[in-house]
Amino acid sequence: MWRYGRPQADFSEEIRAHIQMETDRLRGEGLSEAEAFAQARREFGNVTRAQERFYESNRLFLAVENALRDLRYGVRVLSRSPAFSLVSILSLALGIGANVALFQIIDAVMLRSLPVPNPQELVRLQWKEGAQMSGNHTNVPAEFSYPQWDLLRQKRKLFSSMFAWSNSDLSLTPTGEIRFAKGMYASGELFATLGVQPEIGRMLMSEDDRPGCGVGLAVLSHSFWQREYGGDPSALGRKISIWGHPVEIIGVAPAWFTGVEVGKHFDVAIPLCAQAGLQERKALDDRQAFWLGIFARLKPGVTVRQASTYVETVTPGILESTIHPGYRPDTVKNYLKSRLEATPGGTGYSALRRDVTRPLLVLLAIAGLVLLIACANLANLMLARASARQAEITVRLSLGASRGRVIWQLLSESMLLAVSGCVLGAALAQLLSRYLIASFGNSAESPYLDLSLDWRMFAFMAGVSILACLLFGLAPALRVTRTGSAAKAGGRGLTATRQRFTLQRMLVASQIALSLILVLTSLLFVRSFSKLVMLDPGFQEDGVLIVGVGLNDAGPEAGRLMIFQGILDALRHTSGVDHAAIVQIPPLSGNEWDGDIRIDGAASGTEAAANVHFNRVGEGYFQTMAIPMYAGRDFNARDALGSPEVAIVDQSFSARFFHGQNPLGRTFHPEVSPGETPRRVEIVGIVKRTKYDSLQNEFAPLVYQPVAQDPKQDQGAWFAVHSRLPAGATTAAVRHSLARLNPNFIMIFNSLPVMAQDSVRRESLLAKLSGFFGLLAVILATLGLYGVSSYIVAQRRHEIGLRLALGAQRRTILRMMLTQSCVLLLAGLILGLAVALAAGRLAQSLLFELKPNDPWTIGLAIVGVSLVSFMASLLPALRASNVPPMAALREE
Amino acid sequence: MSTQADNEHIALLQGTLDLLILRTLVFGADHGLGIARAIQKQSDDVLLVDHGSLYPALQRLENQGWIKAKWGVSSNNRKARFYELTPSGRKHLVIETSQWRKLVFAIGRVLGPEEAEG
Repeated sequence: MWRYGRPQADFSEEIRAHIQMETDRLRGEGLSEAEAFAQARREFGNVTRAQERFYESNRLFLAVENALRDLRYGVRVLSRSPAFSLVSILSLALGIGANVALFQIIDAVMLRSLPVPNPQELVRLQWKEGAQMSGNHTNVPAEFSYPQWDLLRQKRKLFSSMFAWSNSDLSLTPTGEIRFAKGMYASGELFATLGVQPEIGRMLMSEDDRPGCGVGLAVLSHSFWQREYGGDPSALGRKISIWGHPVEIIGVAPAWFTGVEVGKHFDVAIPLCAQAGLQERKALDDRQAFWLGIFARLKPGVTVRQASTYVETVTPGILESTIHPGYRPDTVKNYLKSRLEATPGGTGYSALRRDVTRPLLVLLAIAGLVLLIACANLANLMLARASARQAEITVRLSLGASRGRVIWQLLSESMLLAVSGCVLGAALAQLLSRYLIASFGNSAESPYLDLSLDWRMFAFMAGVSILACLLFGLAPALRVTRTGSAAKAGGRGLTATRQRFTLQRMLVASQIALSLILVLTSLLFVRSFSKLVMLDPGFQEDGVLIVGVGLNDAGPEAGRLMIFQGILDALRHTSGVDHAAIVQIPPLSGNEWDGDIRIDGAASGTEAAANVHFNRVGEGYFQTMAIPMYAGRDFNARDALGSPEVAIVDQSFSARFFHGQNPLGRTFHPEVSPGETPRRVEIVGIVKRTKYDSLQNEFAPLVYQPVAQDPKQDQGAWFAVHSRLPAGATTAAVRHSLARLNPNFIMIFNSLPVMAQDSVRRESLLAKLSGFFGLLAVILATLGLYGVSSYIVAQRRHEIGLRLALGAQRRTILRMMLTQSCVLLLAGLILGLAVALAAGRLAQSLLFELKPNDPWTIGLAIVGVSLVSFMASLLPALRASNVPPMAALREE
Repeated sequence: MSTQADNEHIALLQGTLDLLILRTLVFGADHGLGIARAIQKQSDDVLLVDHGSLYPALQRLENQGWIKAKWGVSSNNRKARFYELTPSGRKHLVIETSQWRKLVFAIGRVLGPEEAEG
């Protein structure tokens, strides 16, 4: 036996020596050997008692030894029934693994601080809920315009420093198919505020970020430096090509700094001022371009609340001086109503956080329920096993074991299961969390999250296993050691008392309730997803390739349209391509352009002025996308700059503003900035309604105008190409024919079906995972119900035999057993439904065109759960009705 | 214990045995029986050490690191376990002794001058 400290034998030896010496002394006083020994013993007193006191003198030692003995015993008991242990550990592992995986991601996305010094001092400035800033919101985080930042940076009474930043894809390739680096526009103080020291060279400073800095300077991230330059220090001073401009590299950031946005990592940081030099759409003076995010570091002693109050009070002044001249009066009013707030910024910015928080919480709730079911299941099995060991436990109790010791011993078996489940679950979680992260991304990239285990993870895992252990282990342990039940163990009840299986029945009913909730949830998500997939977006995405072409040396704006026309001709003559058209905002790209219009003679009862979506397309776009044209004509060559402005509207536009009257020939006026010439646009066609920036957003009025009538032409354009060939072949063919036209083109390819899939990733993930968990829940609950029904039948075998012998019909027995199961089922269903209806709101915003209380879905879930549960209890019931009466009676 | 309380012997107060053991060991290492005898002799046979309590107390002190033990041979050539004071035990003894003195002094003041008894 393993021990530590002083062995008991050594102690006994010492006492023996003591008595021996005392005997020697007494013999010296003249007593005989036997008398001396007896006297010495008498003087010493109770030897056994002394030994017991020695044994108990080390309490810690005693506790450790007891715990070890319990564990050894637990291992022996569990290894005697490997099937039980395996099923228990596996179901726990699945439940715990799912919880750990989700917590891991929640930890990485929401709880973890940026790895910067004193992250608690950072605050993020943002507009309060409800702020309306009309304009172009591009590039994450898209919250502030540069003019706003320019004023805000001077209001730093409570801040020791502050910075603005924005993400932007930067093209690295002068020509050919485009290759993007993840750019981070950074105001001068970004690196200083975050306390980022250079790995080599230097970081950007305030002096590097002054308007008129041209194309600016570049700081590389550590990983980009390793990847592109092999970690060579001579990269310093070299030029990197960004949008075709050579930009000098001045430093490399340390490996730990991956940027401000959680889930993303930057490759190249360039000062804000370089935006004007690098990109064609100048954002520095634009009051309508919202592309920046702002963080600040609080002065010592300043609280987030104080900072929030402060920035709120400075908002009106900043807004007053940054009103866009083109805003309508009510747009101005909305703009001025916006207010700033400061929120804790230590965890950085995360677009992912906004998108996945709710799905993650719903999934965590689902995973929690699965774990509960697994625990209820185990509790049931443990209860059955504990009852089988009732005799053994009664003997232990009557031999003087304290109730606490027996409970501990039973609990250590549970703990053994829980810990094994947790270890296996943690391993499963690593797979699951990586799968989840990949699912949050799109076909092009996955979020970049730090999943390393930290103290929060270990605390979570320890908490989950202890909780699980108590959940499934405590009730059976308490139950079986109750003195009343121990007394009963000797005798045997002839009939089942109502109370005898109460705990088991309650557990089964709650399992049914939980699995109904899970099945309902998964059905909701699956149906929502299938609705989204089956939805008619108004266009045919199959076979459509979106091609972006960037012009190097584009020349004057006036000539660009000719170049685009040339590209279009080349596309149309590419093998396999049957239609091609130019489009300013490709569908489902997430980009959006809206503006205000005024309608001449709108139908009575409809608004005369409203905000609508815009797009500019070229001739043949509707054919390419297979969007049916209901009336009027397509754009043609005569719709050019200088000729009367025309538009094609979609069916939701005409329904909203014209109530079924013919909109052809009617006119509207887009809002223009004061000083610009007023515009008047005539409607020449109506097409089917289509989805615009995403599949989830509802159909909204959409106005198409010809690209040719746009006075501004960018340095590049998007083209929609429909081809009979597979996407890969089309891409290769298009790349070839465009390169032949002009080897200096920059190209980018997106397949529309892939974009469509990407835009429903979240729904697809929810459907898949909740479906999996729902299935798991049903399997576990079925096992539980089957197990308990079988157990009850086994316990009542004698009673049933007696009933049959006394003349009961087998049909009566069957009915009796089934009625009991049905009562449980009903109770579970009612409980589950009540909880599901109450909790449905949590899922509402994640559902597409489906209410959480959708009667069909609820009906389906109830039927499904009932059917499976009924089957699970039918088998044991049949077995009960087939009990041979004589055999059952003779058994005891 | 009750038989001992009948005569002039006094049973030890809880906790005082530890103090007396440590004090006895200041004069050098000794075995259990020797310690018991020493206490008895030093107190002019007033304090009687219950042997059944002695060894658990020694074990307690050893667990706390105030004394250490090793097997040796007694003066009359018997095998015996000898206990010895450790430096931390010595320090503990100083603290405990001064506290004990304070306690005795305080109790003495509460009880007042001894009254002559019948």
